[in-house]
Amino acid sequence: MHQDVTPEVLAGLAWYYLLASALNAAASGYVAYHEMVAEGASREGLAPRTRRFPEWLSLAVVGLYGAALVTVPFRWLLPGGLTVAYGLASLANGLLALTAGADAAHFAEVHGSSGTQADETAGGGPSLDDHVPAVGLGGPINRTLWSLVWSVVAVVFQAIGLTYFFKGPLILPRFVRAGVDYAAGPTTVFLGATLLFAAVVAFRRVFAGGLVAFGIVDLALLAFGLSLTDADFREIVAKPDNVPIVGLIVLVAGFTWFALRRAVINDARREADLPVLEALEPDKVLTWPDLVYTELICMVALTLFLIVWAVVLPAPLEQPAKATEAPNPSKAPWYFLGLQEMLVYFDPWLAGVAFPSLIILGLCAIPYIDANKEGSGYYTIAARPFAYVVFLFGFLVLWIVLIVLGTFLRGPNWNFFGPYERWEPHKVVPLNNVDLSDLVWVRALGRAKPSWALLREAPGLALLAFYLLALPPVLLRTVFQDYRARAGLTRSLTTVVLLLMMAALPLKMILRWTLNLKYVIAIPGFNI
Amino acid sequence: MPLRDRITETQVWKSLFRHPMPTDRRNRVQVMLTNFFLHLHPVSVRKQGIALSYTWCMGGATFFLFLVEIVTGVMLMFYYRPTLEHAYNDILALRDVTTLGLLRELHRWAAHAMVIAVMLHMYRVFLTGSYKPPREFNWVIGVLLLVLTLLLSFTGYLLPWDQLAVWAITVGSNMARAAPVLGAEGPGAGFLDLNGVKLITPGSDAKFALLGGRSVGEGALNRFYVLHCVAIPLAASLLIMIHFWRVRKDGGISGPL
Repeated sequence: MHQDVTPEVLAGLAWYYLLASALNAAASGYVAYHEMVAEGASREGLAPRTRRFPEWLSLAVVGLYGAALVTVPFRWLLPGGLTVAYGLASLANGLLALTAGADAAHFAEVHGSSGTQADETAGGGPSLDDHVPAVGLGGPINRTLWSLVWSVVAVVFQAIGLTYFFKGPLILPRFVRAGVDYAAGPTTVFLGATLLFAAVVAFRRVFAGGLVAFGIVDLALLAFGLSLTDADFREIVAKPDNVPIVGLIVLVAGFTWFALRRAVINDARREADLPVLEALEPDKVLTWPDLVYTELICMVALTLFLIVWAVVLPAPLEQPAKATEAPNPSKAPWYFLGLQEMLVYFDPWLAGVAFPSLIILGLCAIPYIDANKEGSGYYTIAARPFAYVVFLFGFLVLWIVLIVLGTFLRGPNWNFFGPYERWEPHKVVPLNNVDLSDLVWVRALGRAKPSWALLREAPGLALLAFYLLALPPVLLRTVFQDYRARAGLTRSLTTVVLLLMMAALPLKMILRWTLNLKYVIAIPGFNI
Repeated sequence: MPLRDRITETQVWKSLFRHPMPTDRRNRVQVMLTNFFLHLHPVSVRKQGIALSYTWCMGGATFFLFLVEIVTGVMLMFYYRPTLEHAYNDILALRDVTTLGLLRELHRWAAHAMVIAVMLHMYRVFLTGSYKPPREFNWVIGVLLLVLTLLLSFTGYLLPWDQLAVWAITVGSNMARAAPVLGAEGPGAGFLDLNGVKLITPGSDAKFALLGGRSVGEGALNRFYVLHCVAIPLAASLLIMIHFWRVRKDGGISGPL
C-alpha cells in the first residue's frame, strides 16, 4: 500500500521531468534567439534582428516531437511501446538546449569582435542583439551565460527523467524527509510565509526579474518532483479534491509575480516621468473582432480544459452518509479551511461567525476607507504601499496560506502533520495550554485564582479594553495622523478597528506559540 | 448565386440577424447594438483594457464558469432526486452506468475553478485599484457575489450525500450554532426571551434554520437543494446583471486616467 515508488510512479515522474526539461530548453532558446526588447521599451531606432532561429532546428524539434506523438497511438505495435516516443522527445529537448547554448556563445563571439554581421548598426547603439531591460528591472543580462545555464538545467532534468524512465529509483533520502517533517509545524509554516512575503515586497526589484523568477520555478519543479517520490506526500496531493489547490498555488504565485513585475516597472516609469504601461496604448479598438474573438478563444480553451480535467479525474464519492461514524479528519470544503484553521486559536463564535462577518464587512469597506486617489487603473506599489501590503498580507498569508496548510498539513484530529508524514489517527500531541488568568494569578502572583469570574478575568478584560478602546485613539494620534487628516475621523477609525481585528489572529497565534496561551478571557460562552 | 448567398438573402435569415456578417466597420458597430448577446459590450473598447496582461481574463472566466454550472446543473437536475432514499444512488449511477455521467465531473470541477477564478478576479481588481471612485459600489456587489459563489459551492457540497459531504456540512453548520445571540451555544443566547420563555434553543436557532432540523438530515438536504438550485442562483444572476451594468455605466474596464 505505502510504497514510495511503483512502476506507475516512475513512469509518471519520467514524463514530468521530460516536460520540465522542455520548459528549460525553451527558456534557453528564448534567451538565445529572441528579440529581447522588454515591456514598454520602444523598438524605434533599434537595428533589425541579427540573431536567427535556425530553420533546421525548428524542423528538427517539431519533427521529433511530432514523430513522438505519432508513435503514441501505435505503442501496442512497436517494440518497447512508449520508449520510442520518450527517446524522440528527449532527443528534441537535448538538441534544442545544446544548440541554443552553442549559438548563444557564437553570437557573443561575433558581437564581441566588433560586429561583422551584415545588417548590424554601425555606431554602437543598442541593437536587437542587446537585451534592453524594462525600466526599473536592472541592467542588461549576459545572454550567453543564461542560455548556457538553462540548457544545462534542461540536460540535467532530462537525465533525471531518463533515469526514472529506465526504472532507476531516485528517491528523496529518508533523512531529508525526516528533517523537513521535524522542522515543519504551524509556527514554521506561518512565520516562514510571513517572512517570505516581507522579503518579496522588500526586494521586489530582484524578484521581478525574469531570471530569478524562472530559477525559483525550476527549484519548485525539482522540489515537487522529488517530493512525489514519497508515498504520503503523493496520497495527499493526488486526492481529487486537493488537485485544484495545487492549481491554486501555481495560479496565485504566477499572477502575484506577474502583477509585482508590472508594478515594479510602472513605479520606475512614474519616477522617470514616463507613462505607465497601461497608458502606452490609449487608442480604442472595435469590440468586434478584438474583444469578442478573445472571449471566444478563452471560452473554447476553458471548455477543453474542463473536459480534459473531467475525463482524467473522476469526481470523488465516498461511502454513503452515516450519522454515527464521523470521518477523521472532518474537514469543511477547501475554501473554508482558512476559517477552520482559525478554530485552533479562537472559539467558534469568533472564528466561525464574527471574523467571517468582519472579513466580508472589511472587504466591502475597502473602497470607502481608501482615500488615496492614486493608483487607479494600473499596477503599482509605490503609489499605494499601505493598501498593497495590508491586502496582500490578508489575501496571501491569512487566506491562501491557511487554506494550503489546512488542506495538506492538517490530518486526523486536526493535528499538524509534516508533508512526508503518515496521517496517524493516534498521534498524540501534548496539550499544555493555559489561560491568561492562570499565568497572572498562579504563576506570577503565586496564589489561587479568585472564584469571582470578573475578578479572575480582570487581566484579560483589561487587555481587551486596552486593545479595543485605548489603542485606536493612540494609533490615530500617531501612526495614522496624516491619514486621519486626509480621510476624516469616520474612515480612519473604521480602518484602525478593522486592522486591529485583522491583527487579532496573528497576535493570538504568537501568544499561543510563545506562552501556550489558550484564552485571554475564559468566561463560558464568551471565551476569547 | 452561391448557396451561401441564397441562404443569407432569405427573409427568415435577415429577420434573424438583421444585418450582414460584420466584415466592415459599419456592420461591426451595428452588430454590437442589434445583437442581444453582444449588447452587453460597448461598441469600442480601450485597447489596454482588454489586454490579458491587465485583466487576466478572470472576470470573464468566472462568468463563463457560472454559465457552465447552470447548464450542467440543470441537466443534472433532470436526473438527481434530493431524498435520502435516492440521492447517493443517483450520484453513484451517474458515475457507473448513466450516459453522460461526466456531467457531474464537469459540474464539480467547474465549481472549484469558479471559486478560484472569482478570488483571482477580486485580487486583480484590487491590484489595479479598479475599486476606486466611481466604482466603489460595484466592488461591494462583487464581494456579495464572492460570498454567493462560496455559498453555492457549499450548498452543492451536500447533495451527493456521502460521508465527505455530510460531515463537511456538519463542520460548517456547527458554526451557526455558535452565532452570537442567534445561536443556541453562542454568547448572548439567553438574551432573547419572552416572559421567561427562551426563544433561542437548539430547536429554534440559526443552525436549525439552516438545516431544517437539529442535525444534517432530510430537511437539510431539501433546504440545501432548493438553495443550491433556485434561491442562490437567482440572487447571483440579479447581482451579476447589476455588476455588468455598472461596469458599463462607470466607463467600461478601468484604466489610467
